[in-house]
Amino acid sequence: MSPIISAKGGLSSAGYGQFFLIGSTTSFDSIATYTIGSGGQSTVTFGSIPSTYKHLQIRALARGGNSDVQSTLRIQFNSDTTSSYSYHRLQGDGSSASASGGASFTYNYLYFGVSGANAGSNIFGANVIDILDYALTTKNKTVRFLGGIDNNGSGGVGLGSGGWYKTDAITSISLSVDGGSNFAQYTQFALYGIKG
Amino acid sequence: MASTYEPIATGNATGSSPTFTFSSIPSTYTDLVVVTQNRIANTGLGFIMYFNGSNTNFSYTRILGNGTTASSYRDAIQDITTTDSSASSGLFTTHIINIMNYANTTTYKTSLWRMNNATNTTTPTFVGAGVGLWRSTAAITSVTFYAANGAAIDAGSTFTLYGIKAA
Repeated sequence: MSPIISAKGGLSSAGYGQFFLIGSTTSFDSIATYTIGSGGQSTVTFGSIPSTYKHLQIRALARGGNSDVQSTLRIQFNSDTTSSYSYHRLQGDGSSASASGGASFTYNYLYFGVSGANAGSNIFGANVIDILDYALTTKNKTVRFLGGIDNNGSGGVGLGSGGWYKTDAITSISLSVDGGSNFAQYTQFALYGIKG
Repeated sequence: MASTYEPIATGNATGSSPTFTFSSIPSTYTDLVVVTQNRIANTGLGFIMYFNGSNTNFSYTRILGNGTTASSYRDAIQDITTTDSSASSGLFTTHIINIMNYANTTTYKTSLWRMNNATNTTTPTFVGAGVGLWRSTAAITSVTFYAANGAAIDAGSTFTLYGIKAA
């Protein structure tokens, strides 16, 4: 981290505490961003991902067209449609907690990552997805995710992990809504690279 | 490629106020991340996060594990949950809070956070996650943390605000 330099945009703090201004980091780069337009879109693919980072992170706000409040986000690597994916997750729906998982799927499933057509207007699911050691060719790939949608009385939040049982470097990532609906307008996926 | 994960500001609670606020947040980033260790001086466990000076039109859902059981809860506030005064001194809760697409004026605002504390006794201890909703399309320009019941945020609590900018 850089030495103390300046505030960003004249920011200030209040709250009866001490306040320091700090500088910028250089290890987290924006690689690409997709924002869905008015017509919707079924799949978002980040292609030609450079191998120059240690880890990847996807940050997303997503809404789909399924007739539900919350939908599941699907993720697939290198266009691999074989049964090489697994997931495990812990989720809460506001009244109870539960866990689920499975193997030999054709996607990783990221629960609660997408709001559905039955969610309130302007409400989107949020996701932070980390893909560790994505470029290494000596091990299978592991994904971890945090996702949630609060719909003011319904929805849920989940933590999960996903496996992709291939040692290939990840060069492309495809995201879609489980159930096959389109992503809705204003859905946004941003891919970042984290240096080691 | 441009570096995009930048610290914006950091501050410490002094132990005499129930609130801590980041204000005049620039709109130039895509997401905000708050990294904080905190603790409050009451026994309600409530530690509320609200935006732009308003504590209305919020809701949240969380999942918690306490070492024995897992549970889930929701309410019409945005309680990020923290260590209270029943814990041994010197123990704090850690949060990493993602405030997504905070400056857009089209969608409601969704936040995601992870929280955990560990005590050397059986309670109160937890690990968990939460999702919050602010039903407003206004750009977020300030983030306030408020200790429930007006209790103080304990000295030793730290707050750092980062901005992440997408390409």
